Amino acid sequence: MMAVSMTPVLNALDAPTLFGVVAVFHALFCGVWLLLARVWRMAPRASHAMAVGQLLSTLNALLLASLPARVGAWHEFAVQATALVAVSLVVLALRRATRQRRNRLAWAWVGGGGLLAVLLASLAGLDGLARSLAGFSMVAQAGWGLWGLRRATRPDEPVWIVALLGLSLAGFVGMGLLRGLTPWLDPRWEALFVAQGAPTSLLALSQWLLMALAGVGLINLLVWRLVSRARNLLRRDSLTGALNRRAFQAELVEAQALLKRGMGFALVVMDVDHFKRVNDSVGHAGGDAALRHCVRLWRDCLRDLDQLGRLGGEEFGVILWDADLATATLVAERMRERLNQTPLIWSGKTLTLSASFGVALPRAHDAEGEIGLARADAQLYRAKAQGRNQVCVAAEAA
Amino acid sequence: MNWVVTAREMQTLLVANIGLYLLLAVAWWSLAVVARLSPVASWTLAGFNLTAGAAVLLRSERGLWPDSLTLWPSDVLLLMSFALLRAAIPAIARRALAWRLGVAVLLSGSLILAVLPYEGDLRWHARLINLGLLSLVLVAAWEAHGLLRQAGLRTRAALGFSWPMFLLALLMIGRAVDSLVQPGPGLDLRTPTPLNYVSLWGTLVLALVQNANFGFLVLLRLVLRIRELAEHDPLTGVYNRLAFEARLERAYRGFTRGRDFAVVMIDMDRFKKLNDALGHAAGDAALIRLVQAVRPCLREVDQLGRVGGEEFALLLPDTDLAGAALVAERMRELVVESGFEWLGSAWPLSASFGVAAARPEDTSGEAVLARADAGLYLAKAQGRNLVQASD
Repeated sequence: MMAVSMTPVLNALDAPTLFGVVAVFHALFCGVWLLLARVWRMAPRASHAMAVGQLLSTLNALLLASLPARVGAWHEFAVQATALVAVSLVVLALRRATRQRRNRLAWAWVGGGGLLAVLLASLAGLDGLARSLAGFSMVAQAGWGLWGLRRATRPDEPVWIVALLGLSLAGFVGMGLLRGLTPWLDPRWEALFVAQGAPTSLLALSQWLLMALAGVGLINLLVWRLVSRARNLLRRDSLTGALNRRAFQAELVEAQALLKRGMGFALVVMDVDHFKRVNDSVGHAGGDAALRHCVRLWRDCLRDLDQLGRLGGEEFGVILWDADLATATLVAERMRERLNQTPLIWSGKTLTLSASFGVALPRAHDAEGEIGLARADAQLYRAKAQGRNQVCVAAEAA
Repeated sequence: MNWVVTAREMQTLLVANIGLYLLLAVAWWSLAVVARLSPVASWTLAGFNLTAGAAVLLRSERGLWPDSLTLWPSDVLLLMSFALLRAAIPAIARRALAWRLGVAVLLSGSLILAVLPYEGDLRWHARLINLGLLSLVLVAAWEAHGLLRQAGLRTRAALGFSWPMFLLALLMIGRAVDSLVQPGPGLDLRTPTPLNYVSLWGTLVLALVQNANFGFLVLLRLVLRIRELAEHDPLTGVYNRLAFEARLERAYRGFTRGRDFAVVMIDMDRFKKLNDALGHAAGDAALIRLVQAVRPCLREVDQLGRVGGEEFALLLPDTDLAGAALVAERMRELVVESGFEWLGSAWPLSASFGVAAARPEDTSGEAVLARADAGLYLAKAQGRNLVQASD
């Protein structure tokens, strides 16, 4: 309805000029995506698909700009085909970038089938039918991408990016529906997109906006991944993926500040037993694998919000949110058992690993959490002294 | 000239220009808020596009909307947009916004424009504005070029990123010259003349190129940062183990083609004791001090990496065993003289060194490192604070 009321405003615009602007826009962004794909190697497949999609959109806009002086069925087919393939390539790029299941056959069938139907209809001179078929084919493609988007993104990806991608795909679905239905409705509706045989400004603007939206969404996704990679490199230990010591200490300072506002947490510190021996028997690479093995097993015993950090060579620490001493002891015991019962197999050798654990609660007046950590560390030393592979717990403060 | 430009075409181009600026502003805003890509730079660039769009909108409505909106405010908005553009350049390299020149141009420009009467011949206004814009663009372009050179790009590559801004500066100069040559009052943006038509197309394309270029600059910065983070140890700033091993293998490939190299393994003595006595923070500070102490011995081509908790390795290209042992001995002395203090109390540092040079029977760079490691064990066994070459 809004579109109908906006028509007078849009009619004040010159559609061929607008299509020229759209063509320039797409041509430039075709170059941008090519650069991203070839020089920067950023998501090369998705970027290549986007580049070709933008190129076809350029062609489509140029064809539409020249439509008033059109030259028959092939011209009509070229217009529909470029629009259709451009949309399906954008959908393909979004599907790739969001790691949706690759299904080339289905993609070829939906795209190729639509294209063939449009070709037949436009050769038979049925322009209305050709437009309608192109519209419904667009609905099928974009709808497919939209459906796949539900589960395709990871939980840590911001909901805004998914929303942006979903919005552009939903826009393509809506646009396809309108274009598929308008040839069969009142001529007033048809005039929205094609008036007196010439494409309207509304068509130019809506296509431009949808393609731009998809591009912005995709760029946001790729850039967000790069930014979070940089952040991970700063915060995480490159070997094990656990927090590095600086990040762990920052978390600890924050936890200590929250403790004063009534959010409790517990600290566990652990150290792999006889790590030097592991290194000597299987080499440095084996030692690295052992550390990774530990972190993988321990992470399974923790909740998502608990923080696991690597404090030194083979020493790790955990912040257990909202846990009392009994719970923390239980978790530490579970981690100890898990590691001790899951041997590491490294280049044919079976290694049984163990670790010693110290558990302590922080106190409200501890400075910056360091003292709580030292208390847990003292228990760790006790565990080591008592024969390793055990959990020692600090006495609760009176 | 036979070429006739219709008022409708002009109107469409103006709408397209304004719409494009708005779209670009939204795109930068989303990059700042959603992807959190250099938020300060992205916000500033969103502001640049927004104010530029608003300036074009107000300017194009001269004579249609009230003069109080379309005359002075549109010129000030234009100056403001370029001030934001100039401010954004250092923000892309994660430095503070450069707002001083922008504020100076904006304040002086808007004051003078407020005094000049907006009647009849507006060419002096145009010249003044162009001068302000030109100074901002030139400074921005020059600084972008410098920052790119600093980031390690060659002149050609740096120009590849900064040329759109130099082009913009050229356009400003062209306009200023045009205002001197052309007689009569300045033209309205809406007037359908070929010159106006072409210049509107020009601003449209330039806006696109300019923004794409800024996008590349921000991304370049991010990519360079990721590369640095991925290769360096965050604590001491030297190469991490993976990056060092890659360089070691490269040196070994060079050795098979006749270029010598040597490796020194460095291990801080009694590090565990230091950590237990003074805490992890002291241990970190000691590692940083050790790296600082040995740095003066390094040539440009030498590569230092952290290969374990308190273990470092140094790769010396074109060096034989005797040369490497000399370097190691010098480093040992420097570490002893480093005078490490923690919270006011001195803690003497020392390190043990193992030295090895590549030999024809070595099958990889790793083998040379292993021999240096064996030398290190010997040095440790003989009482620490020693250099032991393994031959």
